[in-house]
Amino acid sequence: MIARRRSALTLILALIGCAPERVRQATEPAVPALPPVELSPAMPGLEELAASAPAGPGEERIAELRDLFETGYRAGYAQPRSAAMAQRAFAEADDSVWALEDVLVNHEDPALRAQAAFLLGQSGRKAALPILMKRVKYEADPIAQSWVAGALAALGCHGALDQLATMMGREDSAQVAGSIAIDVLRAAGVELGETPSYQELQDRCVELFGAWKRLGVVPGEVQADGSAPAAPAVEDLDPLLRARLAAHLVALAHQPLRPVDDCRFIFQRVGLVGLRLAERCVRASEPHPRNHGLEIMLGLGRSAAVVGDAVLPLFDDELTGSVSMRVAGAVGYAPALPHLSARLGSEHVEIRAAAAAALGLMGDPEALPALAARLSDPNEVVDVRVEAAAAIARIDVGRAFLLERAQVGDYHEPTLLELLDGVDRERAAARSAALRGR
Amino acid sequence: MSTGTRIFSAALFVFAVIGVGRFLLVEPEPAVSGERTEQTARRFQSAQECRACHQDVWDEWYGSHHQIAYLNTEVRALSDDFRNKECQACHLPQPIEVTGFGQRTLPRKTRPDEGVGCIECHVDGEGRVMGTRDLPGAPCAPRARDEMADVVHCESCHNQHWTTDQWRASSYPEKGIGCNDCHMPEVARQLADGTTRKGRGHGYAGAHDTAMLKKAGTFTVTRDGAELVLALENTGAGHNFPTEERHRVVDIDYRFIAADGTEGAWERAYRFRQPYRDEPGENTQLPAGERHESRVAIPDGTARAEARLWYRLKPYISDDDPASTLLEEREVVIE
Ligand code: HEC
Ligand code: HEC
Ligand code: HEC
Ligand code: HEC
Ligand code: HEC
Repeated sequence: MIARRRSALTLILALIGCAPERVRQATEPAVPALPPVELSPAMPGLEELAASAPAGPGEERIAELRDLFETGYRAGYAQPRSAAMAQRAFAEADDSVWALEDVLVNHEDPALRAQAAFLLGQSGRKAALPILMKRVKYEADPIAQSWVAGALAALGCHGALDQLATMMGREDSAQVAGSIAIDVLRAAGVELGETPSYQELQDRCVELFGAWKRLGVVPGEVQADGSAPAAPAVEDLDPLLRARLAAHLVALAHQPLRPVDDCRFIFQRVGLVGLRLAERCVRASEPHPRNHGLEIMLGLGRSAAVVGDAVLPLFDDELTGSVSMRVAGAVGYAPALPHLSARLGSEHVEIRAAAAAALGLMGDPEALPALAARLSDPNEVVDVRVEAAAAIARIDVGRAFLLERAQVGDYHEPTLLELLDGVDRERAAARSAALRGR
Repeated sequence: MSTGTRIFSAALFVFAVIGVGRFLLVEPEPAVSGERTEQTARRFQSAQECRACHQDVWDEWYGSHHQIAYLNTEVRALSDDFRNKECQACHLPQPIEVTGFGQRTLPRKTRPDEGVGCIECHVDGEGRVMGTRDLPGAPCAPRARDEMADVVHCESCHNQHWTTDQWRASSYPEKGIGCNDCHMPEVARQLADGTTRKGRGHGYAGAHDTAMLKKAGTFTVTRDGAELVLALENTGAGHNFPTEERHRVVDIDYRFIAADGTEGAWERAYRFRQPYRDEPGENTQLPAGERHESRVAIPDGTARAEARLWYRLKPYISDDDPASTLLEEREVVIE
């Protein structure tokens, strides 16, 4: 009886033409071998760096400086003369930056936090970058937030200009944010009219922020060919900055969620200065820091191109293979292409989906036929089909061509923009129709 | 009929009903000897595949907080729509066996509607099903793993707020009562041949289930001379009451009603809660087996006292909020 059943099943098997996975594997071209995985523990080294922070003044001294700062800057707190004297004494103390950092993080008066941010920006203290950037995440006062974004820009970091643009859109902070934006934009070499509108300032800030996300440096540091300079080596970073950045990465090994999110927030905005340290996590043998390190790179995109070499060997890693592939796509690591295409035929859904997503991020039109095959395979799981469809939409050579023309500037710009707007409007309309139709 | 053939006919029946090609990836003949070779094992990738044969389990799980873990609007609001990536590790995890039972999980990026599903709890790194016993003849060929019936199974995700540690510190381990004994009640499973076997409910009732909440504590309100004594004993939760999320609250409220009918305002006798990290105060959750007593002076001229035991999913909400559940109500006649 069993024999009879088996033959019935064999027949059905033949009729449906075997399993899709097997067909795929049989037709694949030979896959190049991956470079060997070389991971090593990252946490001990990072902990050591974090502990190596040069000591600041003691708590007592900071309290003293804080008093001085309050006397000098708190509105209506002291007689104008005493206030001026306190300001001078504060400015002359060579350890006052430590108190500024303390006020920025802990003071309950937003006007003093704003003042501290401004002075930190003027101080040239790069080591304040992680503290200012973390403040961006938590600052609730729009005026203080504008000053924090301005201070970061003054220290050579455009990673909070999106916030500055947002603050210009708020009635209570538009004026302050607008005047900070004018300074920031002029310093970055952006040409502005005599009386720029808020809209213009916002647009320019968002553009600068976009450029920062792409390159991780301010326009003045971009190389002649339009690319970013090499990320500074860990050894070359200011020791305090290095220790503070490392301390945030140490949090990735632990469970509490907020410090992990803080770390990712900071590293995704702080630019090239953080890249080489965060890269250590990508090469970490500890899986959670490695995963978070990869997620940071995913957020960084093209400005993290240097990690391409580090992620390729991880493609077959059981724990972080799929996110590694997405990173390769996001950073545009061309040597990954054949490996990504090959993995469109993997037996793991997670891997096939990641391969499709990465090929889309890569934007290589050569991947279109393979992606289209995933999309139109009725036996494919919906996760993979969705990623394949999104990838195809992203690669969309036509739109890319228009964008390229606009960038190169070899065609009538208003016409190009009109065409692009048309394409995007149609897409948006289709999107909302689809949502309404549900 | 041997077990092997019974199960096999169940599987064949399913094939006939569903008639979908993907199930034919399964080795068609169950190994009567109980042996299955590696290459014939099927790699399971989605809860949908299990549903085809375990519709009853699916129905229990579907709509549970495990299934909605990545869709849950409460979680989405707090995680900035999961832009806080680290929230994903438990709310959209990779299978726990891959990272190791009891170890922290890692996130995945597919099957958003499956949250914590069949694959995450039951499937190992090779894509094979794990159960509490070996059933090599079954189409999904479950293999016994001791961890499946053990607390470590839940620990990967449920010790972030020390629920598993609380259980370990209680007398439940010694009594041999684990998470599943309370959270996966026994149910009868109908097999394809009409017989039944013992199964375990997959609805995972917890803080969103009034019946479950009512089981947790014993609430008593008595008069002791000039004092009202309001006591809560954790007699039914295998961990603190409340446990997990810091939002969760258990409140004891009371009021006095005077002889002339005047109703006093509701007052709080006690709040059981673990405060947020940046809030002051101690953890006042009630550990398993422990009793807490509050005493309140009874004002002169009181005719009776009323007391209520509340469970709240969030700390700062009113009694009318749907996230507040009235668990018990008591009245004590004073004179
Ligand atoms: C083709 C049908 C089929 C599919 C698909 C299938 N199972 Fe099963 N499974 C069975 C049958 C039949 C049995 C044995 C009868 C029973 O115990 O329900 C079984 C038994 C089990 C058992 C053991 C029950 C016990 O009594 O110990 C577990 C656990 C299990 N399945 C989980 C899963 C999971 C998880 C999936 C998806 C990853 C899955 N199964 C997919 C048919 C299937
Ligand atoms: C270590 C695993 C883990 C991580 C990481 C995690 N959660 Fe949870 N979460 C759980 C568990 C387990 C529950 C169920 C217990 C409970 O409801 O209290 C839960 C429940 C919740 C609930 C309650 C849902 C409801 O309907 O009441 C919210 C809200 C929530 N999580 C938000 C988050 C946010 C936001 C993050 C990221 C900051 C996060 N979680 C990260 C494990 C985790
Ligand atoms: C892979 C992670 C994970 C594992 C393993 C896991 N859970 Fe959960 N559990 C969660 C998450 C996340 C939630 C909350 C989802 C939500 O509400 O959004 C949850 C919710 C619950 C709830 C419901 C809480 C409520 O308020 O409704 C109970 C009960 C529960 N789990 C018990 C268990 C038990 C028992 C085990 C072990 C057999 C277990 N869980 C294994 C992640 C997990
Ligand atoms: C949160 C983890 C978790 C999820 C999600 C989960 N299971 Fe289970 N399942 C368990 C555990 C633990 C047991 C063993 C309970 C015991 O015997 O102590 C079990 C037992 C079973 C059994 C045997 C007992 C019974 O009730 O028949 C089957 C069959 C089963 N699961 C199928 C499934 C299927 C199908 C799904 C998805 C729809 C699923 N499980 C989702 C944890 C889970
Ligand atoms: C003796 C029975 C019992 C045992 C054992 C038990 N629980 Fe519970 N559990 C309850 C009751 C009752 C509630 C509802 C009251 C509460 O929230 O504390 C509950 C609630 C929960 C909740 C919902 C909490 C929330 O805020 O959403 C989770 C999650 C949970 N239990 C997980 C576990 C885990 C994990 C274990 C094993 C380590 C376990 N339980 C052991 C009875 C038990």
